[in-house]
Amino acid sequence: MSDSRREPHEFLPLSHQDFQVLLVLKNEPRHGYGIVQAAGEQFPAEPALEIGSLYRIVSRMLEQGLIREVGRPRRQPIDGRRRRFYGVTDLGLSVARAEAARLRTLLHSPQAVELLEDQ
Amino acid sequence: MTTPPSPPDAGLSGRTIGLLLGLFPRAFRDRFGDEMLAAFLDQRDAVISRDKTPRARTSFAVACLTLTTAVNFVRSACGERLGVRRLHRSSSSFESLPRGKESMFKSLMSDLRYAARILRKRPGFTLVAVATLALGIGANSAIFSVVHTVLLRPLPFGQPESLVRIWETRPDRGWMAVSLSRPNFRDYRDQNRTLEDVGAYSGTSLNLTGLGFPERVSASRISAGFFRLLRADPVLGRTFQPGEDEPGNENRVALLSYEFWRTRFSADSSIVGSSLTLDDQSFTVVGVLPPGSPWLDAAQVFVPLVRDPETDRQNFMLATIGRLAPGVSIETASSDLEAIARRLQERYPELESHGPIGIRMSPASTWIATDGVRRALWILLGAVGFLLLIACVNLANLLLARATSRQRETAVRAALGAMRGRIIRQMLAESLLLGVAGVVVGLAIAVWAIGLLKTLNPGDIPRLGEVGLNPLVLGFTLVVGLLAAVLAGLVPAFQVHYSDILASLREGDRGMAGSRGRRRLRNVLVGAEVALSLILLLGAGLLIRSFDEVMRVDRGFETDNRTFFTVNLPPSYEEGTRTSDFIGQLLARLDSRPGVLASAAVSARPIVGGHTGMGIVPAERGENVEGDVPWAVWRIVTGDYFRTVGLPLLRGRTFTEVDKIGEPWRIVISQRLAELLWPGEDPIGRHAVLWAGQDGFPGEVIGVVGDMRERGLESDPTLAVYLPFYGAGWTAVNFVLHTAGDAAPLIGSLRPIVAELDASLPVSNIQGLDEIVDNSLATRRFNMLLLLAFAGLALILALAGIYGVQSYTVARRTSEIGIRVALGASGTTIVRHIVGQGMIPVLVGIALGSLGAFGLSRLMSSLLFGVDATDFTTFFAVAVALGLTALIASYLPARRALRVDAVTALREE
Repeated sequence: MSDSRREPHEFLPLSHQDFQVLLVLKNEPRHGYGIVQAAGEQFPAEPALEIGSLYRIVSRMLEQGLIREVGRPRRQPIDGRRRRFYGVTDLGLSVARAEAARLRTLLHSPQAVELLEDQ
Repeated sequence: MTTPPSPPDAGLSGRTIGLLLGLFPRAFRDRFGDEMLAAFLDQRDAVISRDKTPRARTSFAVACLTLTTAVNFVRSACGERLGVRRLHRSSSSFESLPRGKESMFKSLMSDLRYAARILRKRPGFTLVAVATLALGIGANSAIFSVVHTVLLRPLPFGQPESLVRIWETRPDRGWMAVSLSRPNFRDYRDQNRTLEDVGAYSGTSLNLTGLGFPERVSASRISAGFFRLLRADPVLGRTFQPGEDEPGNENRVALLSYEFWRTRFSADSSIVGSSLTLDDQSFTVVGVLPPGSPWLDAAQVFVPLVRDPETDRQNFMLATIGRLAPGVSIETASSDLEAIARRLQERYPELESHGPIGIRMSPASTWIATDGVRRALWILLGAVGFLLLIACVNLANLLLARATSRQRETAVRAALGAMRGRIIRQMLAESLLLGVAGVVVGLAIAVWAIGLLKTLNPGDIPRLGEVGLNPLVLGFTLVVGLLAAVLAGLVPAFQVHYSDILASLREGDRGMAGSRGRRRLRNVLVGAEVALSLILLLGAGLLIRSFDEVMRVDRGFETDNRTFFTVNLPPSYEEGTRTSDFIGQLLARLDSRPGVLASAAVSARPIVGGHTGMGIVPAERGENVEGDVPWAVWRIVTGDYFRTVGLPLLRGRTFTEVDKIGEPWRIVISQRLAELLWPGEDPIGRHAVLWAGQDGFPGEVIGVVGDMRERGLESDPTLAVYLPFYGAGWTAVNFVLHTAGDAAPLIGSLRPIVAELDASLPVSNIQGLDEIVDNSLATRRFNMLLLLAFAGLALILALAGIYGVQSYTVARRTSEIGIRVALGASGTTIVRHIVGQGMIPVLVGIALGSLGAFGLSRLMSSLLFGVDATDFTTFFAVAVALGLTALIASYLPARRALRVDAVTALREE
């Protein structure tokens, strides 16, 4: 059952793993390993996503309506392995946007700026 | 618990991860299982293709990936099953959990994280602990998967619980499982009131021609309703229809076994309706059977057992099965058939010759494995159970030693307010993590060990080829592994007492030599390890002694450079003297080959040739066959057989071409039989009644040869009667060659030599006599090697335990040793003292282990040969060997005490 009636801010704060999943799905649909791979490339400083944990997140996000299953993109090769592709929904995009804004507010606070300048 | 089937390219890592998917709730698994596996395989393939480094490093990288994914799967599956909705640490993580569950989960996760950090910090300890557990778990998992497949998995038939195998018995002769004659089978089938149906099976072999090189295929003749009775539906076509085993109907129909259809006909789905030439006759394939065991894989080709007019009720040739009618017990059905048997004995006097007939029925649950295999497997499962216990005790000892050395840390935590329960939980979290790692590594060991067991397959363990990890085995491994780890963890955990903790805070490091209670506990654990190892070592020792005894028995024949091969002659050879002519010509050709010292033909090979038997009495006893009639194996041989297999001719002569079977009946007999029939007299020229109580032919003894063990090295030397091949018309002919050296160069030319005489004859089953003997001992060797391996592992674990405890004791008692040295004690005195103390639990363990082994000896006795289960020499030798190795394991660390410098030790104090 989808949680699409909930407002984006009700999902906040997102865990760093949830946020990563939404970010890597923002521009193109990906399958499970695609998500793990993209997260590893785009956020090398974050702890690696592991498959068991990832699919629990996928299961929950599908239920909450943050992501949805999409068809196989055309350029994806077909082999014997069974894969599903996932893309972000409008609600998912709004939630990711709200999380980014929340983080930005935090990072732009004078204390955070001061910390960053100390580095 | 079902898991998605692993794709063909899954490999070991993929299969392991595929099995772990079974831990997730079913709905989750059904939805995401396939893709999770695909994602893992993608990730693994990326590791393989990215890593251009040596293969070993790639394998290591894949193993690490598999391990981390496996741990993540276990964690995720637990979370999913507990209904924990979030994985991360944010404050909203536990929003959907009830308050109590939330804090429990939080503290559990925190315990696990802390435990993981602690274990990572001490890689040496972690490695030893995981390896110890994994060895025990892996061995258990492997043997359990064999026991599950061979003994516990149900048969591939409908309602197998009502199926029975039927034998006659002749208790007066000690025959407790006799196959049925054709006429008796028909009478039981037609007259019984307790069986829904009865089916019969007779093994044979047939020449398959017309498909390239002629070949010999295993075949069986079955009654038409055989597979319907079993409720085994064919995968293609149909089984035999009623009446297809009646003479006059269309009997030339055949069924193929699944494996034969797959390998010989490439699983051709249009095979039904095509024809096969078997023994020069054309048969139509009507169906393909499903895969499985037993019966379904008992032959490559099945043809109808056509009812024939045979009336010989003493030709015991049919394996018989039945299906009990609803509500009928085995006992009722047996009594029903016994009543029929009594009526038959009244009507047919020849059935009286072996005493009253009884009926034995065995339920389908006992069909797969013989009693011997069954017993051996349970003993091996017991042995690995002991091994796991030893691993468990060893781990407990390791954890106990570490708990002592961490007492200060525990004390500080307690002082800061940690509850005793929390401290215990923390310790259990560590052993739980060790357990999970032990299970994962143990599974990898199990997969390797199962492969090894299949390679070592002694041949008589059914279904061994089908053994593999499955959800049940996985569940067993998980439960056993985690239980072992938690049990081991409980020992030190319950040693946590506040009084000790506070004392250790007061006393500083000194109190940590361990309280008296803890030291005693460590000694108890060492004693237990030694006792359990001794039991396993004794089992292995007794099997080694038995194997040695078997190898040393007088076989009666020679095995070096003796090679057998078989030529099956089609029915057309039964006319006139064609068989004898063919044998004579082939032997002449073989004898003329360079390197051949002798050659001969025989109706059946030693050891594997079956038990063709006859009653035989001296002619003086006449037709009176009351009382004890010696029962002898009979073989049809050519004159040079005895010379070829190295069986000495003791008196008289062997057969020549003038000796034709039955014209008159001239026989050569074995020495024991001669002594039994005519004690102390010269048997040459004496007359005997052959097949006494049956056809009763008069025979004349022309020679006496040595005794041989026709029924295997573990049976008594066989009473034997030899008959001449000439005129016998026997068509399954075994040829044996004695060559000057290795027979390998000659083997290649056997087919062409036979083809020179008849190109349609297949040569099959080429085998050295040493190989036959070797195969007959394969099960004994298999049991011995396995038990030896388990006992060896147990010994290593026990020695490691003793070594560890002694090292620990020496390290902890440095200051005490320093004081003793300062007070003038010599190094030797100190070493003797430490070794002496270390050996006390070992000696107690040896004593208790001996008592335990004595108690368990009854279980072992059925696996032994020529040695008593309580054999003193073996007990003594094993106890001394274990004591000595324990002494070394105890002495080596004790030597370190010699290096203790009194001044340094006292300064530390």
